[in-house]
Amino acid sequence: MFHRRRATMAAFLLPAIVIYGVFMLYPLARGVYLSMTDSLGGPIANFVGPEQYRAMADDPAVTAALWHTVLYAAVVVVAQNALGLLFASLLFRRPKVRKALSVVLLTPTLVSPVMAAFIWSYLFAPEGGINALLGVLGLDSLQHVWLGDTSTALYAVAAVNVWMFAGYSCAIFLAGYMSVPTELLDAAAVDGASGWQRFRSVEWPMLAPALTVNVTLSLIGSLKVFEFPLVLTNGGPAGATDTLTMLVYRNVFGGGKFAFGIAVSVLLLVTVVVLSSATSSLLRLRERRI
Amino acid sequence: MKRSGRRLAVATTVAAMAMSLAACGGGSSGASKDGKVTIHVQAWKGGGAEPANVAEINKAFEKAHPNIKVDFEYITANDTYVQKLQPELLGGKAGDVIMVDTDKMKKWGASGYLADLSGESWASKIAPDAKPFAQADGKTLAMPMELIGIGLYANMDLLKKAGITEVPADWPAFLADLAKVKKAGIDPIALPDKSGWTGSSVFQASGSTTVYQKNKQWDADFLDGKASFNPDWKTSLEQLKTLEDKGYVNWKNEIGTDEWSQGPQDFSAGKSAFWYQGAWQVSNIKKAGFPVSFAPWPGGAEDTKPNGMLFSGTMWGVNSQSQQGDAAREYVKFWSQNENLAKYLAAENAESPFTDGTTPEATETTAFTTAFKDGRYRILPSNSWYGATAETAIGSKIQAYLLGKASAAQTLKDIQTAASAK
Repeated sequence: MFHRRRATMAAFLLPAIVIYGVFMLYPLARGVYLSMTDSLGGPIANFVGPEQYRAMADDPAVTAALWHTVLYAAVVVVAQNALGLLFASLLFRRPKVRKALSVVLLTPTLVSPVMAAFIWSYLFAPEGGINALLGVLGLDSLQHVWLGDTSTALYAVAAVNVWMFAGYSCAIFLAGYMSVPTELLDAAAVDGASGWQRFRSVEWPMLAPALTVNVTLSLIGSLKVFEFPLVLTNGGPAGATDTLTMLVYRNVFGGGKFAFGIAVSVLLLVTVVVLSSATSSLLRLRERRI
Repeated sequence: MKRSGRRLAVATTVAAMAMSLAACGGGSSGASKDGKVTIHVQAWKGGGAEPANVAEINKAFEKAHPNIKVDFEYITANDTYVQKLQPELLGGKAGDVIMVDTDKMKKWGASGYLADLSGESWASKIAPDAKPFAQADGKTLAMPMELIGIGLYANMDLLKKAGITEVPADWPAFLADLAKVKKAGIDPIALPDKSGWTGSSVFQASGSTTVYQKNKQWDADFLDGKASFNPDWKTSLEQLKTLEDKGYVNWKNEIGTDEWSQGPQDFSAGKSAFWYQGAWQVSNIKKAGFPVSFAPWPGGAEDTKPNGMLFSGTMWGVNSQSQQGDAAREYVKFWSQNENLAKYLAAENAESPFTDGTTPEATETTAFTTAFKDGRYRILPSNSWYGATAETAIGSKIQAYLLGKASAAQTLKDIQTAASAK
C-alpha cells in the first residue's frame, strides 16, 4: 500500500521532473559546457577547458561590470524598498485613497521596460525634461548631463528602475501591513506610542516577511538588469553603466565571442544565486528571531 | 542529437534576449509546384528610414527572373539584426541571401554559415582595395555592395550666415570657421556620442589624414608590431579635446545625446553648422531643405588636402544551408551588375566596389568623391584590427578621455590593447 502510494506520487512528479530537467538542468549544464569551448555561436565548438574563465579573470571590463552590477543592485534594493515602504506606510494610514493611489503606483510596472527607458532617455537628455523642469523651478545649478557623466549615469539608470518598480514593492509591503493584527496597533495606540514608535516597534517587525520577499525579488531583478542600461546608455559613458548582462549581450551578439559571453552569463548566474540565497537566508533568520 | 542539444542549450541560455526576435524565423523560401522559386532575403537596408532603392532593384530582379520571387525582409540594423540572425542561422532558419558587413562576414563565415562565392563571375571584378573586406581565408564569402564615406556634414546656409563660403579642408581652417560660426551665434558642431561611435569614428577619420598620409601601410605595420598608436595617433585624439577646449562642443552633453536618433533630427532641424555622420544620411538630410555638403574630416595641417574615410559597408552573403542556392546566387549576381547596383549606390551616396562600377555624382558629396577620385582615401580596416569589439572598446576609451577620466597617453595605450585583442 505504502509502495503504491509512493509509486503514484512519483508518477505525478515525473512530468515536472522531466520538464525541469530538459528545460532547466540540461541547458544549464550545456551552457556551462559551452563556456568551456571556443564557440563563435556556430556549430563548431572545440573544448578548451577553463580558458574563457581565465580570460574573464584577466579582463578589467568584467571586473568593472561585476562591480557596476552589484552597486546598481544595492542602490535599487535600498531605494526601491525604502520608497515602497514609505508609500505603503502612507497608504495604510489613508484607507480612503488607498485603492486609487495603489493603482497609480503600480502603473509604471505595466509599461514595457524598453519603452520606459526610451522615454526616460529623452527626459535625461541634456536639453530634456528633467533639466527643463529644474530650470522652471529656478534650480539651474542642479541641471546636469545625467547620462553623459560617469559619476551620475549608473544612478540615473537605477532611478528609472526604482521609478518603475517602487509601486510593486509598495503593493507587497501593503499586503504585509494588512496582515498586522489590528489588536497590536490598537494596544500600541492605547499605550500612547507615537507614530514613529508604532512603526519601529510594531509595524516594522511585523513586515519582516514582506521585507524578505521584496528584498529578494528586487535583488534578483536588479542583478539581472538589462533593458535599462541598454536603452539609456548602451553601457556608457566610458563603460560606467556596463553590467554583466550588457557584457553577455555584447559578446554573444555583437562581438561574436559566444563562449566568452556564455562564461560571463555563468558568472552572473553564480552572482545572482550566491547573493540572493545569502540575503534571503539572513532575512529568514531575522524573521525567525523576531 | 548532439546538434539539437546545443540548440536547446543556446536557446535557453540567451532566451531572455533573443526569444521574441528568434521566434520570427524565416521559412518562406522554397519551390512551388509550378516551378517558381521563392528566395528569402534579409537585410538592414531597404526599409525604415533607409529604403535605399532596394524595392526597385528587387522588382527589376523579379522581372528579369520570372521564375524567382523575392521575399524581402527588412530588419533594424546593428544589434537587432544580429539578435535575429544569429539564432536563425544556428537553427537553419535564416534567409537564403543575407546582408552582412565585414565583421559579420568573418564571424558567420568562420562558423560555416556562408557559401563560398569565389567562383562567381563578379568575384574577379571586385576592386583590389575592396577585395580583402569580402574575403576570409582566401575565399570570397560576400559580394560587396558599396564603399561608403563617413565624414563631415556642413549646413551651407548657416556657414553663409557666418561669412563662410566653402567647407574647410584643413585643421587650422576648420578651427577658424568654427570660431566664426560661434561668433555668429550658431552652435558650431554636433558630435553626439552616446554609443561611443562618433568619437571613435572621428578619431579614425582624423587619422585617415594625419596618420595615413605619412604612412599608407600603417595598418600592416601595426599588425606586424612595427607601429603603435602612441605617438602616431596622438594628434587625432587631441583634435577631439581641442574642440571642447575652444568651446565648440561640450563632451558631457554630446555623450548624453544619441547619435542615431537625436543626431540626424537635430542637424536636419538646422541646430548646428557642422555634424559628423556617414554618407548614408545624405538622402535624408537633403529633405531638410537647406544646402548641405559632405566632406572628409579636415584633420590635416595647413594647406593639406584631407583624406576621405571609407567604410566597406553592406554586402550580400549566401546562406550555406540555403535550399535555393542557385536562385540566391543569381540574385547576388544581379546586384553585382553595374546598372542595378548603381541605383543602390545613388541612394547611399556611396562609391562602387567594382573595377567597372559607376560611382554616383551628387552636388552634396562632391568634396568627398573628389578626394576618392584623387586617391585620397583610406578604408576603415574592419577586416583587420578594427572589428566590432575593438570599435566598441575604442569608443568607450575615447569617452573616458573626453570626460577627463584618462590621459591621452593612457587612452592611446588602452586603444593599443583593444586593437591588439584577438
